[in-house]
Amino acid sequence: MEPLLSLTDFEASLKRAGMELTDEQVKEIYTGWTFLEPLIGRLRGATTRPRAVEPAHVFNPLQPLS
Amino acid sequence: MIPTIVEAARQIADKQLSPVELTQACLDRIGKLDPILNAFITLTADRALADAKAAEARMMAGTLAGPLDGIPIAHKDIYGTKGIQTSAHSKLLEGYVPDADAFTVIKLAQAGTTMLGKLSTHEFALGGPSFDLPWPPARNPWNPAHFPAGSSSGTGAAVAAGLILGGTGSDTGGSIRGPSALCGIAGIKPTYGLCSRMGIQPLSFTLDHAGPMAWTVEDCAILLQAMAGHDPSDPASANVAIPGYTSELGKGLQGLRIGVPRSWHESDFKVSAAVQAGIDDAIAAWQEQGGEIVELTLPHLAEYQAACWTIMIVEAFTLHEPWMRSRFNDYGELFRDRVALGGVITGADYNQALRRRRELIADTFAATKGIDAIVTAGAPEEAPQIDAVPKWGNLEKPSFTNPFNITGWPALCVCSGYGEGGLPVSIQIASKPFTEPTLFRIGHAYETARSWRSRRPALVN
Repeated sequence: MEPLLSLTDFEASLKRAGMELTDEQVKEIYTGWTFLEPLIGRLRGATTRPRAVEPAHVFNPLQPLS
Repeated sequence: MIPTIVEAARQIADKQLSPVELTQACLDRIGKLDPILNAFITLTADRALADAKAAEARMMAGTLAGPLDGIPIAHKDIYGTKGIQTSAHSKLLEGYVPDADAFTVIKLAQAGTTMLGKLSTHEFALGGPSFDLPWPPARNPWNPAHFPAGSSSGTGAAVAAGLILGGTGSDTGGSIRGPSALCGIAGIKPTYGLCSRMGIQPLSFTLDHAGPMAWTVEDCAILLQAMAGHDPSDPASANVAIPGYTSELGKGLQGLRIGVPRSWHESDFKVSAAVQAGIDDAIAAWQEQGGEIVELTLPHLAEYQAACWTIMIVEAFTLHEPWMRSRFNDYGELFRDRVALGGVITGADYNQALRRRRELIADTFAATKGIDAIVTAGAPEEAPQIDAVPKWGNLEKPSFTNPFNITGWPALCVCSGYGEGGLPVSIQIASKPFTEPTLFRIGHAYETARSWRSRRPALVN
């Protein structure tokens, strides 16, 4: 199955993240993306709970900086 | 004959074994075998002999600190060591010398251990096996053409070959248990927060665990006794009472219920015949000792893998972002290419992975109600050839170790025999948070019921 993110868009995402890479490097990393993207798709589709329910990030306002 | 920690400690306590001679024997083996195994990045022979002489003085004075006094160990080279290079096996930290020891390094030194040096890892505990770094990758002592797994590869190789009696590792997705499985030793990823990560090079703050590796389960329990404990300087450190980790050993398995999630190793990722035989053998051994075996259904392995890898590489990219932008080509190819993916994942997907993690923890607890432990594979098969490890293998196929980084549950790998190629295979046992004594009890019950510990790699002899 074709990845949802095209090679061109993938390269743009790497650039936005600050990584200026050769075409060869982009293609090599994109191979990894073709394996990772379906895993991320699993996360998106796995839960039927509303996203507003039980946010994952909570913090303790009294916790000092370590 | 290479002693276990238990055997060496007993002989030292009886003044039958000199810590200096024990350390020198390890140094001699290192001199002979490490040119083949590449387990060490930095050897601290002078420091080791000084430590050993101090231990010997305590032995003669009758003031030994405990069962680790005079025991030769070494640390994975992401553990900070004062005055000693801590490279993370990377060009980026080559020559970096910390001005303080990691919390666990201090605790193991206070227990009287003899420190032989710093051990190979995958680059920053993720990129490996790599051949484009300042140091070569560690090799599997059972066959040096084969992979020792990673990222605590040097510790796995060094313990199996008897270069040290125990050592430290870290585990973000399986980096203690993988090398323990493929090198045929015991290794435990303790409960998240049980061992402080202060002073250890991080990879992923919500998944990183520190823990010990050794030849036997009991030796791991003794090492964990020294490493565990609250540390306010690690925000994830658990402030819990530390039990005696050897306290349940030898008590039999009467009353314990062990769950088997067969779908994990029979269909999610079908393991080799030798690995399956090891799981079946462990089940038989436990039943003989009064344990009850229960069939169990857990979420698909890929569910844990998806959450684990999404969280891990986003957090790793966060840590490495400045150098990923400015010094990309100074990293090895495997590390930089894997972590670059973390720069592409959206914030929404990262948060969804964290939410999914909480669901998986709840699902795992619900499925294991009334069960004391889970048994599955440590690794799917024997070690592959080191030059045949696929670059994206951890994303292509699910992992047996990721579930317990996601849940934070303690998990222990124990050797369960040898495959067709003569390399070790392993079972993995996991239990509920902070139940390490039970975990050791179950692992020890299997290990001592079989004779797998009587065999060492041929190159040691």
